[in-house]
Amino acid sequence: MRKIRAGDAVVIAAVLALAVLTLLFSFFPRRAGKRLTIFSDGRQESYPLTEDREIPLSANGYSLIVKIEDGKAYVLSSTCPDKVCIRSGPLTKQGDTAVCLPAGILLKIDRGGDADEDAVAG
Amino acid sequence: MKTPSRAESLARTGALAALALLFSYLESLFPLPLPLPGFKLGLGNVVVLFAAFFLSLPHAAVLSLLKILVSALLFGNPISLLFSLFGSFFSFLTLIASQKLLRGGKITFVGASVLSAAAFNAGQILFASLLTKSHALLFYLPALLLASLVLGGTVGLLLNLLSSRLARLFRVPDPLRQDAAKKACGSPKEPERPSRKDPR
Repeated sequence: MRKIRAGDAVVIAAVLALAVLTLLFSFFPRRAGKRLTIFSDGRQESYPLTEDREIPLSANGYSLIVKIEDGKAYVLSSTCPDKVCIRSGPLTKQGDTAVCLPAGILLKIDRGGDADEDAVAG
Repeated sequence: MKTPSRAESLARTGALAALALLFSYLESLFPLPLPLPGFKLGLGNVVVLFAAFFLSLPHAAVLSLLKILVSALLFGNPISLLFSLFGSFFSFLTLIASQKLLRGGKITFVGASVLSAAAFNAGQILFASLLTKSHALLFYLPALLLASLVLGGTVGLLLNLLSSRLARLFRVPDPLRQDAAKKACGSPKEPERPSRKDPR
């Protein structure tokens, strides 16, 4: 039986601090997004949130249907096993994301226009 | 302690690899009841951390690779294999520092395991970010870091409890106890533990 040492507490405190820091980072107030960008297979395509539509996607042998409705984007259905993307719920704000790792598809809300690269903090 | 024969060392590494696989199998039988998939205790890391402390870093690397490759063959898929490899690479980098701290008695397996888990998860997020060519996944980092604390900490505590028994089972000397014994004998400078050859 080994007793925990001070060094362990330092490690735990450091990881905890990093977690809190990254958490604070994601709590910054976010503005409403204007555009949905879908990253799939190294390609990306954007759709304005103002136009309702259904977008069928397929990658890595899985099919997803993404829906844009009333300024919100969400995954309507997916054949992937986990359904994390569906449970991510509707995306509305800048920086909101939904991922389907099995299919390698990422949905992200950004502010549209040309300068969407600086939406790091979201 | 006499230096082990090549056969003994080989047998020990094989037994440790089997133990790591057993742990991976047990884990795949009982997924953790968490809202997100993919979170696991990382019991296999028990063996890797054990090997890093009691044997050597090459032992730990070989065991880690064996565990990843075989458990991906048995319970995983190509994508999970890539994620594991990437995460474990980062995990191993922390192990290089952890081993010194562990053997110096600065930290115990709890600290080493938390570091290893945090690096594993950060590495996987990094890989997922590269895969999707986006930094948006970094938003999962807080949850993953907290998970590393709890899950990695649990594995570390387990190892703190079990390491002496495991060491006796596998007939390896405890580097800390050895140092203490040598200090008690009054030797001015404790020599490095003879490093064993990588049994590959």
